[in-house]
Parts: sequence; structure tokens; C-alpha cells
Amino acid sequence: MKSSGTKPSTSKIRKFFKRLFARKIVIFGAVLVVVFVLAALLAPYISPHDPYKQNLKLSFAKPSAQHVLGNDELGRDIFSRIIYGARTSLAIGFVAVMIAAGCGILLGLVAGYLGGMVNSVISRVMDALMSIPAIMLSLGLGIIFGAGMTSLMIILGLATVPTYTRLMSAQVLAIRNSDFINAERVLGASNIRIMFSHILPNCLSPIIVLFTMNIGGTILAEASLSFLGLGVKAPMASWGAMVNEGYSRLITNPVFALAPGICIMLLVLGFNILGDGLRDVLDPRLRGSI
Amino acid sequence: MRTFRKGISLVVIAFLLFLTFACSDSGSSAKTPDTTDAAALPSSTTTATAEANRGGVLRVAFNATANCLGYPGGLATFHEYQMVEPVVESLGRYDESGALIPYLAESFETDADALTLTIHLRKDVTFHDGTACDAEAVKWNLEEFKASGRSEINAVADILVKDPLTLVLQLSKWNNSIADAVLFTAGRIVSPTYFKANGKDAAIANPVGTGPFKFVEWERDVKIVYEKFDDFRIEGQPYLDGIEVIFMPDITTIISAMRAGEIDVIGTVNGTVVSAMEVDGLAPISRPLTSGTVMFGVMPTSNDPSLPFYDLKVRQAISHAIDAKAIAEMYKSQGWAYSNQWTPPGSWSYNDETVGYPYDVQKAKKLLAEAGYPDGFSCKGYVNSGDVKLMEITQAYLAEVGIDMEIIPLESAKENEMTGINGTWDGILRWAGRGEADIAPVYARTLTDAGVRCVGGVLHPKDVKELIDAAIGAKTFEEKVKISKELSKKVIDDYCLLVPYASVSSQFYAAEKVHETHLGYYHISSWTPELAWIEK
Repeated sequence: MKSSGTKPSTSKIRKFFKRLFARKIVIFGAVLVVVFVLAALLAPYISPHDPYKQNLKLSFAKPSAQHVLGNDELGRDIFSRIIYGARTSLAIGFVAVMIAAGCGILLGLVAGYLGGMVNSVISRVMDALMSIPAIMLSLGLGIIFGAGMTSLMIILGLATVPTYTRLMSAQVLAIRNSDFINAERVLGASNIRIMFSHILPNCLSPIIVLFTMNIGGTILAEASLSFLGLGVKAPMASWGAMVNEGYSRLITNPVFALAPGICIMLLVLGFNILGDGLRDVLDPRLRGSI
Repeated sequence: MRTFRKGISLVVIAFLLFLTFACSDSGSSAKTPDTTDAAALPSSTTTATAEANRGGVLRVAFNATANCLGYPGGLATFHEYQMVEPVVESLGRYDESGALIPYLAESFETDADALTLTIHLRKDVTFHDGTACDAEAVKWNLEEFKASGRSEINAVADILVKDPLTLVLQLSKWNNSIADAVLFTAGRIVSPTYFKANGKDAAIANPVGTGPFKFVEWERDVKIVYEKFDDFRIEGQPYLDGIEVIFMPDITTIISAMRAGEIDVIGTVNGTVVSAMEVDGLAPISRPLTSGTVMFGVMPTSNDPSLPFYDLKVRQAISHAIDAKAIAEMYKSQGWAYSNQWTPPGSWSYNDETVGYPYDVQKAKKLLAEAGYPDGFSCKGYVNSGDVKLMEITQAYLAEVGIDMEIIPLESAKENEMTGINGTWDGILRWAGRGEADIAPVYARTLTDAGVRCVGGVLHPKDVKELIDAAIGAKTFEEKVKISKELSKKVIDDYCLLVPYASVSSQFYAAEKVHETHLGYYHISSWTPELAWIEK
């Protein structure tokens, strides 16, 4: 019985991945993401040097056999710092989006299901937040929470909450009066049970797509804030901060800024392509649009 | 499939571009331009050459802005002093050896017994508004300087106008640095007539001096325009038709503008500029100075018993933990010279017998253990948000001995508050101080109760104060040198009140066609716009 129960599930997963990777560009996106995730996870094992060990004699040293991308101002190995920078970017990207999704889904669920005054208040607050440019909102929150990795996660998460709230709210409004929800009500199910056991699972597909695509956006936002000096604290490696340090030497030694810049581009590209692929699979109306 | 290929192609192109840049060889040998030579005054040959090349407008770019141009006491930064030099002359300047010489003044003399400084002015010098630059005008300038709250000439009790060209400054007590303070720092002379007719705000924005150039306009944060003053007191000078001071906040823009020939001189200090100019084969027109430099280092809070740095051993430990020599060497091309004391190396007050704290991690750990911190401790490191890198280097060194320093970047206003008269800090401060040969008055600004800068977070030892007073009050130069050297050693070896890294002389670059500016040559705060000329 057990095996017969898992067969349809395994088959569904296989079908899902078959559809997802039907386009080779999605495979490319997934490979990019996997490469960077693996680099982040295995950073201590694959980094050729300690990313925090300074050697002032190697300040701004050009690429060599020992240091393939050269050394930064403090003589730290740039390649190793890029590998560790992947950790920072991915950690901030995932956690910030989790915070955004968690808060946004909850608020959207409550607003959409309860409607009325609750919906109006939550919607207007979200509208107000969305009227502030994301970078301004992040800077404002940055002043409140200060610099640092935890602060960055919270700042970037909170700045993205309205997107999830509105999407979730719209999804809930579309299905809250469906027959299967009404049937639950007639059977005496509580609002909490209806919201979390019946409505939420049926609204998750677009959220998953948004989640994936937002990771790329959040990584980009982290890089922007780090570039502006509001990012992670020294000596932690961050791609945005590395671009900031390197851009003034773009003319004399472009590697310093270009190497982390290309990493940001590739990782964001990977997440965006993967998000597009997921959207393609989960929303049949858009299939074939990328 | 086609989309996939496009995506792959884009990435491959990006990688190829990256590799092209990465593998490009941007180094080249630097050649020395024949811009400024060592002579303070032009020889007959250079004068003739300057005459032959008369005309043109010199464009000097700074990445700093100005807040005041023409009010006594309002000039605060060395950039402001440089920017107004074409218009506002100083009573004195420094020569090749670093000695104060009269410039706008004809001569001066001090009398330690009579407690006086006498200044003789030149005849027939007029301001750009046509009024006379006489003893009354100079007296008004010095009094206004004091009234603005500046403390440099507080020792001057009274100013007596003996005749239209002679002033006698009566001192409250003997101060052998008073001539420098009066003639160079405070002695930037502007027209009192203009000030009285137009008010302070107008004077701040419209400098009316006696210099070789007249003020034309100041477009804030964009540029200052000066034109030649035809009635300049030195016949035949200036050689240029005008000078434009251009504000460029972005270093990359400054470099690009220099390469495009849009500016002639870079009047700023920055490692990126240095690297770019080396690539272009330009050497700095400035030279390492033994006075008028900026000293860099860190200053732990030494007067708060609740902090580890209150313990002398901890201060000595962090000094041993930081390889200041390596830091100075790294920035050597930017004009850094290692110093183990708060005095520029090579200056007469530099004490070769100061032992200092050579880089020694084991000794640092031992001292920390003796002080009761065998596993180190956590602390804060405060630094201006625009200059975090030096603290990152410090942070990495301290981490090696177990000190976990969290870097706190500060906005300029917060930094000024923290380092101001009533401010303090609780940890390690990125310290920048004046590097002068005559160091005692500079020490007094920080290491005594009457100090004004970085004064609230540091001990004020009684014997240091006594030495400062003795150095300032010394009646002979030999005595002053002896006490100043003793002071330099005591502050470091006995009290370890700061961890000096280096004395930094500003680096200035000029196009090869530019001559005789002497920017960063005699003193960081002065140059010679009247002698400058551009080769045609």
C-alpha cells in the first residue's frame, strides 16, 4: 500500500521537474544557482585562502598563480572573498525573502479572507509602503535598524512585504467564496482552519514563483545597500561592498569591481531564469512565454 | 533553444570582457615631470621662461568643498587655505627648510623678555577694493580672528599700532610659536573696509585680499573663479590670466578630467589618484614634508577606568599588535612616512630615541595576559564613514591578539561632536592630527584640559602638561628642541596615549605644462599662485 501511495507523488515530482527543465535556459539558470549555493555551502573547503587574512604586502596585487583574481587593498584574496561573499548574498537573500513572504502571506491571508475594514486598513498601509521607492524605504529602515547582516535581512524583508501581501490578498479574494470553502464553513470549520488548511495551500503557486524571483532582487538590493555603505559590517565579505571598494579603481585595475559585479549578475540572472521557469510550470496560461 | 543560445552568448561575452580587463597590463614606469623645482624664488632663467609663457588660466580640481573664503578665522581646512591663496595673502610663509619667513609682512621680530611680537608691513600695498593694507587693517584681522573663537593666538593680549606700517603684539606670557600662529595661521589678511560695508556673510563668500588674483565668482560646490590683479604689489607677477578652483567630489571624474585635459592640477589626496597618475607617468609635484602634514593613527580611550584601555599595558599591547610600519609602507606612494611618535619624521622635534612599540604579536598577547585579558576582549572602533579602510586594517591586526573590534562608521557631524571640546568616545578612535615640527602647541590641543580636539577621551598627565608649557615658553630654540623631543618620547614611551601610524604629506599632481605652483612643497596650507605659469 505504501509503495502504491508514493508512486503518484513521485510521478508528480518527476513530471514537475520534466516540465520545469523542458527549456534549456531554465537548466542554465538552475545550474548557476546550484553552483553558487554549493560554493556558499562549501566555502571553507574550496576557498584557496582565508578571506579575512590580511597581508599588506599584497595590497592591490594583480592576479597571479597563488591569487587568481588578485588581492584587495588589505591584501586579502579576492577569489576567496567572492566565494564567502556568496554566503552573505544567499543568506541575506533567502532569509529576507522568508521574512517578507512570512509577513506578507499572513497579512494578505487575513486581509483577503476577513475583508471589510481589516482589508482596507492593511491594503492602505501596503499602498503607502509601496508608494515609497524601495531603496528609500530600505535606507530609512537602515537608519532605524543600523548596519549589519541581521539588520539587512530585516530591512530587505520588510521592504518587500507589500508585494506578498497584495498578491496573497488577491489570491484569497479569488477563492474565498469557492464552493469547497463554503462547504467547509457549512461543516463548521473555524476561520483559522479554513485560512491555513484550505485557502493557503491553494494560493501558494504564484507565491513560490514570486519567492524565487525575489531572491534575485533581494541579492541585488543587498549589493546596492552594501555599495552605499549600509551593508554588512567589516570584515565580512559582501559582493556589493567589494564592488564599492573596486569601482574607484575601475580604470587601473578593473578586476576588483568586475569580478564581484559579474557574480552578482550571474546569481541574479540564475534566480530570475529559475523563477520564470517555475512560473511557466505553475501557471499554464504563461507557458512558453519566456 | 534560440533563447538559451542567446543567454549563453551573453554570459560568454561578459566573461571575455572580464578576462580582457583582468589580463590587461596597466602598469608602466613613472617619469618625473619638470614641474616645480626646489627654488622658493624663481631664478632669472625661470622668470624669463615664465615671462615668455605669460597668460592662460590654471584649473585646479579639489574633491573637497569650501565653506568660507574671506572671513578671518573662518578658514578651517587646509583645502580652504589653498583655495583662497590666490586672493588672500598671508603675512608669513615657510621656506625650503621649514622656517617662517615674512611674505605680505616685510619683517617681524620677537622679544621673549619684553613678551612682544613686532610686525613691519610693506609700503603701498592695497586690497583689491583699493583700500590700504596697513597696520590698522592687520590689527582688525587679528582681532576678528580671536573674536571668531579661534584659540591659536590667545597668547596675544593686546595689539598696538605703533605707526601705519608697524604693529606690536603684546603677549600675556611668552610663547615661542606665536610668530607662526600670527603670521601664517591667523595672518590671512582681508579688507576690513569690505567687511564693514557688506557684513560677515558677504565677506565669507567674497574674499577681498591683496593677492595676485581678484575674486570673480563662487558657484558653490561647482567652482571659484579668480582673475589676474593688475596692480599686484610684485611687479611682473602673476604670470597667469586667471585661476579656476573646480570642485569634483568623485575621484574617478577627477582622473578622467585630468586625462582629458579639462583640469591642470589635482589638489587632493587619494590612493586612486596616485595609482592612476603613476600609470600616466606623472610624479607628484609635492614632496614629503617635515611640518604641515597630517598624522594618522588610532587613539584608545585612556581616561575611562571602566574600559580596558585605561590600563597602560593594554594600550601598549594594541600598539605592539599593529604593524604601523607595514601600513605606512603600503601607503608610501600616497605620501605616508612611518612615524612612531606624534611628530613628522625628519622634523627638529622628532626624537630618534623614542622606542615606540615595534610589531610583536607575542609581546602584545603577553601584555594583554598581564593586564588580565588573556583571551582578549571586545571593543568599538570609531571612524569617519568616508575613511573606514584604515580601521579595517587595524581590526584585522587586533583580531590576531584576540581583540574583537566592531567598526562604527561615523557621519562627519557625529565625529566632530565626539572629537570636539565636550566630546568623548568609548573604544578606539581613528585619529588624525596635525603634524608640525613645533609640536608642543599641537599637543596642547589634545593632551591638556585646555585642549579643543580629541580632548575628552585621553589622559591629561600633569608632567606632559608641564613639558608642553616649558616647550612653548622656551626662550631659546635649542631649549625648545630639547623639551619638544622629551615630550615626543614621554607621550609614547611613558604613557602610550596614541598609536601613531604615519605622517602624511599631501600628494599633488600637475600636468607637465604647469610650473611653479609649489603645491604641497613648502607647507600643506600654502602654494605660490603668483609664480605659477603654464607652458605654451
